[in-house]
Amino acid sequence: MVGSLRGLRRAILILFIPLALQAAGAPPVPETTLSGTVTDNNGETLPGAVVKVKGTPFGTTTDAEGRYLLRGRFPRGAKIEFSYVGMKAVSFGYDGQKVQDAAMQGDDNLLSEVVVTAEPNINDIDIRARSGVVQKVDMKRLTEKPMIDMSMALQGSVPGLIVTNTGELGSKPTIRIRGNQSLRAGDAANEPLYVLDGKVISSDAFMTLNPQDIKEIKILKDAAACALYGIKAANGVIEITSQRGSHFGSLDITYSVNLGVTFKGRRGVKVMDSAEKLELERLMKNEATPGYRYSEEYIRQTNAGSPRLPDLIARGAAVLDSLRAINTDWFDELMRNAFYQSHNLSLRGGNERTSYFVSGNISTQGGQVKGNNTLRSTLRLGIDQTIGSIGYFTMSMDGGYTETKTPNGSSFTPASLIYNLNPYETPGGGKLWSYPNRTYADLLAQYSANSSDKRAGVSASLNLKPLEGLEISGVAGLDYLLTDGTQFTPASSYSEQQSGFGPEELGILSKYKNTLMNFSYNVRALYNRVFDEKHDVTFSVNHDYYLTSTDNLGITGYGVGDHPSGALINQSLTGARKPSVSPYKEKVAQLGVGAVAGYTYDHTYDLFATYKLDASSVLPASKRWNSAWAVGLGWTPTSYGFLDSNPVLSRLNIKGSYGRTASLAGVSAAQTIGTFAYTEDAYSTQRLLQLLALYNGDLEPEHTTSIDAGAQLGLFRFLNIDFQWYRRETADALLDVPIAASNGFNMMKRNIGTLRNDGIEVSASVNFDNLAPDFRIRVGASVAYNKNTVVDLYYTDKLYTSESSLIPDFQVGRAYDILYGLRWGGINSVTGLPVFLGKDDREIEPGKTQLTRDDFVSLGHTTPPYSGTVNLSLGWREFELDADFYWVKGGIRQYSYTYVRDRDNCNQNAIAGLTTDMWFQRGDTGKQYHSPFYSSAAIETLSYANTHNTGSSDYLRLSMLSFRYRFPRKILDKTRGIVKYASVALQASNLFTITPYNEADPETGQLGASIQPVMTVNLSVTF
Amino acid sequence: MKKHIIGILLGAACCGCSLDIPYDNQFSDPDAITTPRTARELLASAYAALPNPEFDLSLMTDDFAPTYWASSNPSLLNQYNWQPQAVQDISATTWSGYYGVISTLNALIERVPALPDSDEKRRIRGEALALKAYCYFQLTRLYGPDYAADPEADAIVIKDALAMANLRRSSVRASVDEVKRLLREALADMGDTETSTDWLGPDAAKILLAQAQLYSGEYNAAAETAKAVLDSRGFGVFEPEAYRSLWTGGACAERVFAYNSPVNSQSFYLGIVYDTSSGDYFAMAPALVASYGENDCRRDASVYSAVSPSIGEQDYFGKYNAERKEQREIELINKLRVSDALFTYAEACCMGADPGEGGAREAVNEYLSRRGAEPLDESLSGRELLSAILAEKQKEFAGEGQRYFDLKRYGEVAGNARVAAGDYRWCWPIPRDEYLYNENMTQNPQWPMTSFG
Repeated sequence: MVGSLRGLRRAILILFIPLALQAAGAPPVPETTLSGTVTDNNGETLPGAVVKVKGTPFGTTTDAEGRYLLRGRFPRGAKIEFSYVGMKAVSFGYDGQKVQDAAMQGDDNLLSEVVVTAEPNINDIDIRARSGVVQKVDMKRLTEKPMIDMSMALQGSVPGLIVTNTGELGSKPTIRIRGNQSLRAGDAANEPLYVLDGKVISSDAFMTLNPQDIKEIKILKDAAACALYGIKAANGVIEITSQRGSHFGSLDITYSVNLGVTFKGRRGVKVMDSAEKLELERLMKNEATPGYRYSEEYIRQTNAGSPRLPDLIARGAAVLDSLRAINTDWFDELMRNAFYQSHNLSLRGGNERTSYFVSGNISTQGGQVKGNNTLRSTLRLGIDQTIGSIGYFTMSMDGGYTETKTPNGSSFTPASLIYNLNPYETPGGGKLWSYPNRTYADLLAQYSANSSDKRAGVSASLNLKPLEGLEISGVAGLDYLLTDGTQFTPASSYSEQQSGFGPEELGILSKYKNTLMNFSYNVRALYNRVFDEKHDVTFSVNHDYYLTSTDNLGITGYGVGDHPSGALINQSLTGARKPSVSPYKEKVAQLGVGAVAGYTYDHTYDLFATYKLDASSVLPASKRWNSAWAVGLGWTPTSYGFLDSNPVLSRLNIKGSYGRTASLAGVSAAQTIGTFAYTEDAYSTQRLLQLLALYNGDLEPEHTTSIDAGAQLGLFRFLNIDFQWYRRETADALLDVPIAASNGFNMMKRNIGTLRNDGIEVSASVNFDNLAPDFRIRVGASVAYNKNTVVDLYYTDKLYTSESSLIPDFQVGRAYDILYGLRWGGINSVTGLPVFLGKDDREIEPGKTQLTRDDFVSLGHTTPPYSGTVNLSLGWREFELDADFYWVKGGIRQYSYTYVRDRDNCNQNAIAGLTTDMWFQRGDTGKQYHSPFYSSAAIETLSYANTHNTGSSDYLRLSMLSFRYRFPRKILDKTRGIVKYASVALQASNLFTITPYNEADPETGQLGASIQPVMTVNLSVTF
Repeated sequence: MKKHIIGILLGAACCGCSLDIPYDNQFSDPDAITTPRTARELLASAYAALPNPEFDLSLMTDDFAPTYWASSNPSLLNQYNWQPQAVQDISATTWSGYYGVISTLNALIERVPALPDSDEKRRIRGEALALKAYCYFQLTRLYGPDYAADPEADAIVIKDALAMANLRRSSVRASVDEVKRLLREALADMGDTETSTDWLGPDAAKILLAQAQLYSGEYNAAAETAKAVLDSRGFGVFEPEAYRSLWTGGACAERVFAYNSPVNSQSFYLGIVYDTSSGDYFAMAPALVASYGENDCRRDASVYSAVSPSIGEQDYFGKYNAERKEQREIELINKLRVSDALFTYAEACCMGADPGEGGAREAVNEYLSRRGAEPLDESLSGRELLSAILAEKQKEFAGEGQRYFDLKRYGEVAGNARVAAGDYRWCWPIPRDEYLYNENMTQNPQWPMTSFG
């Protein structure tokens, strides 16, 4: 097989060379152009690679997709050199060819020979990647996803980076690297660290970045890679490098536009039409519903003996007929197709000494409710300047502005209304049966709100090489985020009218201004020498500092009437409607010192060790200093000479690392030391100074130990396999646990146990760039598996976080995300109540049987343990087709079942088919839903999950589909060199989701609709 | 050049070295409680957190009787009927309420020694100790059996430090001894000056001490301590004007200690109201209303007669409830007053302290004449005299919770409770959120102590 492939390649070459030769033959003096693609040895395109004609001033850099266009007056026989940081330079002779691709080989020792390419993040040192797990996000695929913000676009980009959507488009998703490190839920304890050009930024700031401004995103997963960042990086690091300018005189101006539509998403549960709904109401006999109120049965009952009875019955029937004729599809009514557009303009240029990159972006996104929308704009500037021959200086500035307008704010999400409004109700139809005394307008326009984010950041770095092998560098950055907003509930709104307050107290106005400032700096001295051309030695020390400061102010006032003006707040009010001010200010600093040592023998063996000591101002002086250290090993057998020319194994690299880090993320001073704060209340004439928490003087940081092993394998020069295994154990895991009430507090933060995350990540890609002329194909797939276990609990073997728990929340030997529930036994045909099967198949009688732990069985994991992607790229001449699939497996989710009605709430719409699937009378067998007439004690068992009301949350999603056409040289040449590149693309994200989950969205559990598909047309032109 | 750069880098490295960044809105040790002012503010938060169980306790006595509306509030009715679940519910909030105050007081007591020496420092310590004694005494009487019944039975957890601990319960005797010890120490710290009634003063500490002495059978000591308060305040404080002003919030010579947290007082006794126009869930028990004499100023304050639509004339509870009905704000909740000293003295004398039953009768009659009530029958003695004194005490403290403790302690001597004197429910259950997490905890007889699952 190997032989046949080589034969094929040879055949292609033979076919190709005459074509290239034919195109040659231009006179020596006129301007020549040369184009092509630069890739690394894995076939990944290399953006920012330098292409230079040796001995001439002509040169350029590759674009985001690794393509370049070189223009200049250079003769045949000139040497074209390709270089890239960390890669062996490659050169070709120019022989008049129009196309020259280059595949570059990794080589770390040739760094100093390459043209200086500024690297603002001084923690991004090469030795780290040789033994640690640093994975790059494919930026090309990322920018092809039509997404308004960064974070959702990251879903599926790197195995083990789990991005979970939490709600509507634009809401902040959950981002985790290799699962939760802590038993504590939430971002504070589990969120990765975000670093942009060497400065630490908040996750909110990350959300607002423009994907087009980003050159590279690296995901740091293991201890060896993260340890340089110290304890802040206990949950992994996402390193972002912004676009930089070019060093070769040319100025590139790129304009790209995305115009698109956000679609409604997949319809979830099918709801009733008017005829079935009215029949359901009749069956449930609720007088507050038209289906019963106008039924013959009800009219006969209430008007027995009346002479007008036949007339009343006829009138009732007429009303029902008219209602039946209305069939409003609330899904269509409430879920809107929203318009989306994004414009991006960037300038890239410079010379050998100075280079710059400027970019601006504006995008708008319509909301689900008419009138609501979000506008986002960003601006970025990057300047690199070499300082003589000893170093360089870089500066980046960025700003962003996001405005969200919600003129029609509502506490009801459109998603919930879809299931509650009746099909016989209409938007303009007056008072609703489903929400008595309210109209549709009352539901939707409850308040108006505006909010905006204003972000500004600046960072600067300096790299100096005063001595051979010694590099001294520093980076400092400041990031500022101002969030402000107004929410206004007018006096005329339904909620205010119903509030029971006097007319002078109506109308609520809230305003807030929150500022968040991050300042960080990092200085590093690095010494790197190669002795005897074999011993590559690196030593480095660093010191970093990180300050985050929050200053928030909010006011809420009442009595503003119908005008959203702060001046109208009625300040004479007392009691519940007293105007209130809520200030909050917090400043936290972290300080660290670290040392790194690395050694590489003959490109074959890598050794790496790092130690970092960090202190946080949050903690008392005695607990302030915590350390993180790691050691790593790497082995690259393919560097041996005897393996160099073998056709099968093109690359083999094996890595392993071990590290320990301490983390106190999410722990505040109040939990470790006596801390007091003033409350708004008073006693006698005194303010109240309150003890905030029962502090734990013995609190230890969480200690995470990680072991990682991985292998990279390149076969036949077209198949690449990457395998990673890890085990991360967090000892002294922190949790707020209940304590005896006689301590005066119910909860205390304690070190309660040890948890473990085990996982495997495999990715493979196949490249067939030379399969047929002009035809490229690349297929990639990845699988990530994560398993969590509670290994040890210090005080007990079962931990309950609530007094009423029947099942321990944490149990030694079990995963902590298991959903327990009862086994469904159907609906009792006599009582109409749900029956469950308990321990030893005993029947659990509603309201009678006392449940015990043994009646519950494990239903599955709430977090899917498996996730993965399938990527496909096809290219033929100027056409490119890319598709990304994302899937998760092994999770379970409880259905909300809010659309199953009982007698009391059947004034709201219900799932289609309920009239036949519900138990209504004795003898109804084989029903799905219990009787609508019951006492609350009888269905208490339904408050637990069970095998009937949960479903697998597995899904497969087409997360990206892109079809791009690049205008060929022939056409572009007609613009007389004005247009360098141009392409047009049709792009879509989240086109469809396949899932066995019965409600709308298996990922968020939201009832309304699945994640919304976005389709855009993209045009990109570079001048 | 190189030297300069290295110098600049080192300079930058050192400027950030200070990590002592104080919070803007929080104060951490050791810089938090450093002045008498901040110590007083912390003490104020302990006072403000004090539970107000007056309504809940009164509901379980013969002070109140349900009205027509009571049936629409099953949880209040269950509590009135001493349903075990209702008792467990009220027990849980009361236990954690008092221990919440105690934890704040322990935090304060641990930090007071660091304050600069001053009278205010000693006063704060004294108040903290007295308030802690007050909490312990309330808890002891609720969660332990009566002292006379079994002084060695388990009562409460004595918390000497703020730190988390799973402690054993102390006996009733040890608990009351701790109350008395704390009060003696408090009295030594407080000096003799009375300040505002918002704060515990020496007279308040003496009243509490007298009550604790009486409770533990030290009758002579109890009489002596109570007498000291009575003597210094005089019987003039029992005049009707003073009694009226106990509820209206103005200055009142009889008041010794009252809870003064305007926000929390707003909801005091709100639970008894069904609807401002329709009436209350509970009204005064007819027997109690009937027992007041015609000119008794205590009746005027305690009974609020009103005609409610659909249920007719009712003798609603007055006092705080009357303030609310007349749309005045409830400012103060009386916790200790001179009448407490009087009844402690009278009970102690009745139980054998000097000067005996005669002394008791004399003091109570003096008090009754000021209140505008008929004096006690001269023929009364022994149990009958005690019974009569307790009846007057009920009239004095109607709706203020004292009756609960008398019914528990004296059983049939005090009156006819809805629950027999020896019933297990008089000793409230240790709440679930205590025994689940404290392996050293014991439960009171007959109450459940179930584990998880």
